[in-house]
Amino acid sequence: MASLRLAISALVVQVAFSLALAQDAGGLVSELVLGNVKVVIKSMDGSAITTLTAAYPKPVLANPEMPAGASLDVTISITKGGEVFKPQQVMLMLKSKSLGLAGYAVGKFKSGSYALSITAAALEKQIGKLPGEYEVTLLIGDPSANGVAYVLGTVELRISAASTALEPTAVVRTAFFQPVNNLKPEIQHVFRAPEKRPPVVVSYIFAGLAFVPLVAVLLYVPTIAGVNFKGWTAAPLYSLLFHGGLGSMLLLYVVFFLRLNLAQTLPLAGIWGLFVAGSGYLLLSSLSKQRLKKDQ
Amino acid sequence: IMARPLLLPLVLLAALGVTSASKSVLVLLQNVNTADKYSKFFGSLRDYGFDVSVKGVKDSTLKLKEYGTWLYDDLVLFAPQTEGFGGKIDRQVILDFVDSGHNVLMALNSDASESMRNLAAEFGIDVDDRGSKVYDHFSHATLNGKEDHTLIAGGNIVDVPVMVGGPYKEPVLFRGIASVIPGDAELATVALGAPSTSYSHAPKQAMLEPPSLMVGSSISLVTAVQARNNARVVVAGSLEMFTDDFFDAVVTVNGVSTHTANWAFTVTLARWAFQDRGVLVASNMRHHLLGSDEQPWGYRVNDDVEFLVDVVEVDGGVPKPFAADDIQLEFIMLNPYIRQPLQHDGNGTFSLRFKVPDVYGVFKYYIDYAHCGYSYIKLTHQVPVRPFKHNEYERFLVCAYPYYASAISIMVGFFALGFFYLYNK
Repeated sequence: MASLRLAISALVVQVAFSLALAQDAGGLVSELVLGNVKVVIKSMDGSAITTLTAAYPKPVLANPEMPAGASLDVTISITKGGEVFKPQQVMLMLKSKSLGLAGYAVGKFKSGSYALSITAAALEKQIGKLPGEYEVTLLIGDPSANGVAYVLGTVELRISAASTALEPTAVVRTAFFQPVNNLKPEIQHVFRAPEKRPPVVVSYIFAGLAFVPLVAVLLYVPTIAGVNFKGWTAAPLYSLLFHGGLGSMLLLYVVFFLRLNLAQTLPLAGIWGLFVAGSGYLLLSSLSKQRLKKDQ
Repeated sequence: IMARPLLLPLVLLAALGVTSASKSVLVLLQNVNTADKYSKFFGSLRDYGFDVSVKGVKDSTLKLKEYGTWLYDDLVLFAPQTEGFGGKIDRQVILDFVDSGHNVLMALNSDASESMRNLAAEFGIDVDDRGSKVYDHFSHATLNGKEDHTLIAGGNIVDVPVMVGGPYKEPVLFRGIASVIPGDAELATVALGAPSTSYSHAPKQAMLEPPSLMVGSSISLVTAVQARNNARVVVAGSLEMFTDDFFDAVVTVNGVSTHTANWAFTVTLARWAFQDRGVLVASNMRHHLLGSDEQPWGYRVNDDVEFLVDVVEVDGGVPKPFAADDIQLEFIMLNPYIRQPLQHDGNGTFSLRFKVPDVYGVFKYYIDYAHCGYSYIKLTHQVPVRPFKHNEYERFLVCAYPYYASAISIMVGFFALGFFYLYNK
């Protein structure tokens, strides 16, 4: 019986002790309380486009569009333990959903509440020209309390076309957004297209046409004057030498065209030409002797 | 046969030379008696073969250079509060040290002196004002039961394994001062960046406005710079991240208890800084016409050629073949005519086959490789390209057949006319 009473009293003491401890722990790190959160999107001339009242922790911005020159204004009052509190960090963070880069605005304390305002121009100065969807977060923090990150939602940021801001790569460097290499675009040389040539058939036709006069000469000229092969027998050796020499002279021209150069050809042509001329003279003299004999 | 008895001693001598060529590191501490705070860091460096000498920063016998030779290969400055240096070291000597290809590892903290901040500025790093600390109310750590909002544990590590090591599951602890590198920096890299919820603030002063306020992930906690002569400088904003306390710490981050990755991170980064990792050596640049082995004096337009170069990566003094797909070769005459990536064969030989452009002149091969974490490769080689010789053009075109036909027909006709002329009635 005594032990039971002892056990119950020990239990009660334990519970009281832990309750007291819990209260004490709760008091050591008190929470920051966000109140009167108002989000306004103001256009360039100061008139409000959208006005929203927010309550931590529910997001209120459903990706409205921020036109060029508009500003996003947030007012908030922060209390700790029931009293107005000025934490060390009161910032508005706009983090780009595409690249993860973020721009910030610092809050100004005026008559009991903080006012934060950020525009596309201020964002451009921090991270460059980066339009698109941004996640809006309120960062409230102090060394004496746990930090409060209130995600207000997302906005769609439009950059004005006249903006002269630089691309993000020229403005900011972070551990995850910095150049890794210096690759430049690849270049392949485009070779000049070869000149257009006529179709092969055309060349063959004209080559054939070039032989037509030859055929005409071979067929027609003998019929003009008649061929007399008796002259052949007048000086058979000389005629063989002459015509053979003339033919091989023409062959030399062909070989020069195909293989030789002028330095090799000219001496050969010179020497052979003398031979052909000599044999031609002899042939001609014997032919004329034959004609004179016939005339007498 | 005479050389055989000499061969073995020569080989042993060469082996000895390789192993005993350790790099000497001079460490300057604010107070030389605090060296055992960093015993694990220095111990790891010694394990990797570095010869570490620890001295006080105001020691009057300090000197980096004697009679024109540098006495040390690398310099570690763990004295952030010092305004000047003792002995014969001063800012100009340190800059000459880096200009001559040697490396510096600097650590700062919130009490960083003006001269230390100016030295960091010489390397392109803008350190925040004295007295400012990096705060993060969302990614901080609790060490030994004490929650500290300046003890950052959520930083982003750059994805370059050769510089900082493999993916780390544990956080890298940091407590110190913020830096920023300009957006158009070509030589600096953010090795450890702050999380997006952090900011830099001097507690007793008014909060600045961005962009002059250093805030978010644009804060660089540890910056790595590689100069154009491949000398490396690392500036860490926290001296405590190198201490044994942080190496062994078990911290609570957002309710989860973890160890820290400081030991692996700082030692790998220090080895990178002292050019023990990620050093590339390009050699044996050669080129030839396809089908021939000798290196020609020059090319002709429209030639098929092959260019080859061997690239080796040196890690801890051990060379191993380098493998990468983004080394670009340019063939330039005033402007690049060809810019293509080199293919590697797995053995460190990079090659490219291409056709010489149909423009003649004096070209040059140009490689300008700058990959984050690796030393720069810059190679040029001039090669003249001549036009076609008179007898290298096409001959006997089909469209010239009519002309050939007409010449032949004249010759045959002349031959036949000879007959007709001489032998007629």
